[in-house]
Amino acid sequence: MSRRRFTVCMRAGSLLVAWLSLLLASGCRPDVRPLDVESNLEMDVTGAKTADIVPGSANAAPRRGSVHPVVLAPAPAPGGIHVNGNGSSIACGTCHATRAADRSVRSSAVLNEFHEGLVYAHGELACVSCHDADNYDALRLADGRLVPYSEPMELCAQCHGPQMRDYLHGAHGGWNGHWDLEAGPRVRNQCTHCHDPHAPAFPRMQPTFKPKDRFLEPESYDGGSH
Amino acid sequence: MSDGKPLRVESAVGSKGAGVSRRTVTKGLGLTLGLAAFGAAGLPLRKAAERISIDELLQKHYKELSDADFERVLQRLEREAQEQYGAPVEIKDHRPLKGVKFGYAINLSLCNGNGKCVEACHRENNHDRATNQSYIRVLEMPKGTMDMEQGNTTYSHAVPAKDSYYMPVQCLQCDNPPCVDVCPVEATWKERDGIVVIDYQWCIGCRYCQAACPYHARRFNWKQAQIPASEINPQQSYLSNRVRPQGVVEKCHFCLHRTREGKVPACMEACPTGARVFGNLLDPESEIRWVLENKRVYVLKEELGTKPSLYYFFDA
Repeated sequence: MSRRRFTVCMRAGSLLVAWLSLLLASGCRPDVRPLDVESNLEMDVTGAKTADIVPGSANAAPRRGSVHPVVLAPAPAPGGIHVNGNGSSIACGTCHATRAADRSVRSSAVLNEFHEGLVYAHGELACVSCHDADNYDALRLADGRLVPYSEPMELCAQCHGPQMRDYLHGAHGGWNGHWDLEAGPRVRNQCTHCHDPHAPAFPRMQPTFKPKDRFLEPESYDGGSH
Repeated sequence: MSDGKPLRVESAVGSKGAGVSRRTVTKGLGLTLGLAAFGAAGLPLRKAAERISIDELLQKHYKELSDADFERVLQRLEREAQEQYGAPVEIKDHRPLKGVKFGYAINLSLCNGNGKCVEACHRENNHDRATNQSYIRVLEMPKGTMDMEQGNTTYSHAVPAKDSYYMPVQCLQCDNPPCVDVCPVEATWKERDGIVVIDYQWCIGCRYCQAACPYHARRFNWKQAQIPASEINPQQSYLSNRVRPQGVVEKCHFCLHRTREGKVPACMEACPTGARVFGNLLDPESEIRWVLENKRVYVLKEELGTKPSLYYFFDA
């Protein structure tokens, strides 16, 4: 029987390692600055950095053994665009390099040449609130730093602070794998796994699995003799 | 009819000499019918006896089994599962982890009632396929009340519906469990890590616990679960998701065959909204502790003093 003790949940260090490894794996363009890890930790608006949390309670047993990482699942790549009714997926910069950006666009209604059918319902934001007008292959933070499409969370957190705070404490976005990081790794989503950045409201769902109550629906109960 | 009485007397008197009296016939008939009824009433008992081996009949309580005996029990149960369902299974015994007390919290601001948790539980825990049995019920609740009795589980429209919120209810693993108090044979008890478990081999199926639970969390096995061999979850544990015998009570056990190995429960893994937070209440760094210390937390039927280990909470 395992003698594993306490989990080291949501360790900032593990998250940091995961993000860095993802950065390397994503092969981001040289002009996209690596994610500033320190600023990520400071996004925790509660004031208590996750890195500051140390085990110290009377109940806490000394940490033992190796601690598995919290792996950040890569964010879904941006969807293709529709050109003249045909689906296509080409690098954003392929078209945007030859056309000057219209920084005033705040609605998908005016997109009559490209990006047809794009559903946009994300407040009053302009395209360039998140996209970089000079480099459409990256996203742009308010302070001018670029982040890759594969790691949009810092960008989202600029406005959605409470959600990011909850996320950093495991109370938003879900997590899978192990509650005990000494037993195994954990996988976490990013914002865009669940929220379409152009229409971020969580979609309605159709329940697919219902209990068959033999008193309410006798015909659907295949229970044999009673 | 007025001459009936003299007639009966006459025949009764006459029976002493020769033939069989009506009384004797009636007695014989009554005796035959009575014996037949007695035999029929005992039929389920005799049928049950055919299914239960001597080993099973004489098996001791989980807590009193020696290691060697328990090993034999597990082997027998694995063999029986193989015979009955045609699938190889591995039944382990997961003991509580030291320094761990499990807690669970569900975010009612995020839960949208899609029921993926219900289905995940159904598959993980080898529930009867015909009935869609599961340890979780998702209640569609009208906004503005916390009265569980106003909830509805049979909704089939797209969710979330207007003016509704959704509350999944399963065993809350109470620290003061009424179900344990009422069990006449101590077939159910609370373990060190907070999980209330059942020895399915010791349960007599009286269902007192089902009546005692204020959360309707316990289920009774009216019949033997029917599961295709390909859908049997072979990773099983004695106190959790092995296929239960007919006639015993079962309930959510926080997927102890997973959680005592450090994994999250199946319902949490399946939740597409991220509404579920599971963890160790004794670890001050755990997510569950942060939720309980920083969110608006609600305890279902708190006034009953059951002290659940499963909490509900809200954003904002």
